Amino acid sequence: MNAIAENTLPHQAWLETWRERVVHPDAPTWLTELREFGWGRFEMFGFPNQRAEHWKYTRVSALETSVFAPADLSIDIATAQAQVEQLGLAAEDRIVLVNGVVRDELSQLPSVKGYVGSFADLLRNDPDRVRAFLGAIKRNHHVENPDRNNLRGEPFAALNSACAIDGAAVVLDPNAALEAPLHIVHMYTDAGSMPRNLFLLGQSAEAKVVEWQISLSDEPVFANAITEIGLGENAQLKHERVQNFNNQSWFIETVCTDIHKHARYFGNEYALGSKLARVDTLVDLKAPGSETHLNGMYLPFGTQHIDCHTRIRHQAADCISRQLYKGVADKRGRGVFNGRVEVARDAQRTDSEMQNRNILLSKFAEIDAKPELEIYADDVSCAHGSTIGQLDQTAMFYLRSRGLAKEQAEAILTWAFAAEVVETTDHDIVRSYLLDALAQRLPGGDKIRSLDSDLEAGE
Amino acid sequence: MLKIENLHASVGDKAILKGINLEVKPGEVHAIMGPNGSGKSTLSYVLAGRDGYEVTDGSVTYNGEDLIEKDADERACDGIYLAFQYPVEIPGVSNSYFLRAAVNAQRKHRGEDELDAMGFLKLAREKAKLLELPDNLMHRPVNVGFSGGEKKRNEIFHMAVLEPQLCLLDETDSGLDIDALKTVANGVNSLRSPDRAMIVVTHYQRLLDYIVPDQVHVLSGGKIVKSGDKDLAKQLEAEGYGDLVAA
Repeated sequence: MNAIAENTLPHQAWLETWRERVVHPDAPTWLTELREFGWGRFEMFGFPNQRAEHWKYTRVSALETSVFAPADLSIDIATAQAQVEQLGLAAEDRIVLVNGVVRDELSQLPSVKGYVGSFADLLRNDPDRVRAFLGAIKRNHHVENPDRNNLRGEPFAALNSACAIDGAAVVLDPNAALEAPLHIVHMYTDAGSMPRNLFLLGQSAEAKVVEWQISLSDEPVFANAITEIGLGENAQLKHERVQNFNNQSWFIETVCTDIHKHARYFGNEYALGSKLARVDTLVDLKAPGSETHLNGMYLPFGTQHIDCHTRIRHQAADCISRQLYKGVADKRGRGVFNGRVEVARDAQRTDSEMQNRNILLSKFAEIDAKPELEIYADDVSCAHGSTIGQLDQTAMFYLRSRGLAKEQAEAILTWAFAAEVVETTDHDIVRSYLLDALAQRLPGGDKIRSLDSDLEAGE
Repeated sequence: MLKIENLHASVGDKAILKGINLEVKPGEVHAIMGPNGSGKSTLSYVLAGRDGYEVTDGSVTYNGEDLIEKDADERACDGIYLAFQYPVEIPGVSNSYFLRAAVNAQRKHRGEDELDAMGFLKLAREKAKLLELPDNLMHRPVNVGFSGGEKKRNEIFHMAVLEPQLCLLDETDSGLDIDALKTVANGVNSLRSPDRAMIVVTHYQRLLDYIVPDQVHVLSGGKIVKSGDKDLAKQLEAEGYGDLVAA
C-alpha cells in the first residue's frame, strides 16, 4: 500500500464511485462547475462532527466507514408498483422515484400550466430556468466563508450538488394550480441515493404536495436529499413529508424555502422511520406579508435517532411564522429538536410562535430540545415554549374521573399527544397511514385505532 | 348516600377545607355557594379523587363505604361524576371514542357486558337528542374547538350517558350566556331522579333559578358558614357574601 492510500479517508473510496457516475461530457459548463464546487466544499468539510453546534447530539461519523455506492437503477418494477398500491396511491397523481430517479412507468403526471416531472428532464429541456434557481442554492448552502462550528446541512448539501442526477420537479406558471394533491413517492432498494427536488411556484400559483420516503426492502440505505422551494408573490404550497425508512437506513434532508410577498408555505413533517434521520427545514420569509406554518412529529423508538432542525428567518416586515413540533420517544430512542427563529432589523411587526412538546415513554429514551430566538427588530411578537416530560395531570384526572383506569388514560393521552400533529394533515391517505403507524407503536394504540374506526364505521 | 364529616383537606402545604359537614340523600340537590377562594372547587376535586388533594382529617362516606382511599376511576365506576369547570381538550380522540371507553370501563367494573359500537351509538344518540346536542359534537375530538357553551353541554351529555348516582357540577354556569345556561339547566333537570343526588357548585345565584336546589350552603374560609333552603340563595344575591365572610 502506498503512502497516499494510507492517508485516504475510508469514505473517499465509496465517494469515488459517485464521482465516476455523474461525469456527463455534454453537461453545460455551469453545471459541471457547480458539481466541482460541491465536491470541493464536501472535501473541505468532510462529514460534520459533534464539535459543530448543530451536530452536537447527532453523530454521523459511522458514514465514514460505511459503504454507500450509488444504488442500482435496474429495479424490480412489480415490487415498486405493489408499494404504490399498498400506500393507496394507485389512483392519485404522482411522481414515483426509485433510488432517486423518476420512473415514468410508475408515475401519473397531472397536466398543468408549467412542468411536473423529472428534474433531470427539466435540466435538459429548460436549463436556464433551473440555473437561475441553482444560483440561489449556491448562496444558501455553499456559503463563502463557512464556519466549521456553525455547519448545518452544508456538507451534505454540497455532496448532493456534486452527485444528484434526478429528483422531482414541480414548476407552476403564474396563476396555475394543481387540481389534485400531487404525491411524490421516493422508494429505495439499497445502497446510496441523492435525490434533488425543485418546486417553483409562480405568482398566485397553488399546489398541495405530499412526499413519501419509503424503504422497499430491509437493506440499509443512505439517502441524502435536497428540496429547493421558491414561492412567488401570493403563491401557496402545502407540503407534507412522511418519512418511514427501515431501521437500518440513514436519511439526511435539507428543505429550503424562499417565500416572497404574501406567499404562504405550509410544511408538515412526520418522521417515523430510519436508523438515523436528520432533517433541516429552512424557511426564509423574504418579503412583507409572507407566512409559514410548520408542524412536525418525530417518534424515535427502539434505537432510532431522529433529529429535526428548523430555521425560520424573518427578513421583512409583517410576516407570520408558526411552529408546532412534537416528539414521543420510547425504549432507547433519541430525538432532537432544534428550532431557530431569526428576526432581522427591518422585520418589524413580526408575529412568530414556536411550540415544542415532548414525551418520554421510557427512562432510557432521550430528547434534546433547543429552541432559539435571535431578534434584531424592536416591534415584534415572538413566543416560544418547549417541554419534555410527562402527560398533563389535569387531563389525566379528567379521563380517570370518567372511569378510565390509569393505564388506559395514559394510552389515550399519549395517542392524543401525537395525534394532534396528525390532525393537521390535509389528506385522508396521510392521516390513515400515520394513525396506523401510531397504532403499531404507541402502548394501547392498536386498541384505540381499531375502536375508533369501529365507531366511524358505525355511522 | 353521601356523608361528609369534619372534612379537612390540603393542596401541598396549604390547608383549604377546614371542617366541612354535609349530608346528601338520594334525590336531593344541594347548592354550594361562596366567594372566590372559599374552597368550592377543592371540595369537588376532593370528592372526585384528584391526585394532590389530600384529606388531612375527617371522613367521607359514600353508600356506606369510605371514599377517601379510592382512586378517581374507582369512584367514577361507583357512580360519582364530576362535570368540570374547565373541560379538558383531547385532540385526536373523538368524543364518542372517549365516552364509549368510559361507559365500558364502568360496565366492566359492574360486571356487565361491554357495549359494541352499534349499542353505544344508539345510547349516545338517544341522550344527545334529549340534550339537543349538535350531532357533530359526538364525532369531533373531545372539546377541541368547542365553544364555552358546547363544552359545558358536552359535560352534561357525558353525565347523561354515564348515568351516575352522585353528580358534582363544578361552576357549570360560569361563562355561559342565558340561552346556553337554560339549555344546560334543562339537561341537568331532565336527569333529576329520586335515586340521583346532585351537588351544584356555583358562584352565581342565577343558575339556581333554573336548577332549583333543596338546600343551599355557603362555603367560606373552608367551612360551611350557613345553610338554608332555596331562599338563602336569593338573600345572598341581594345582600352579597359580605356579612357571612366576615363572620
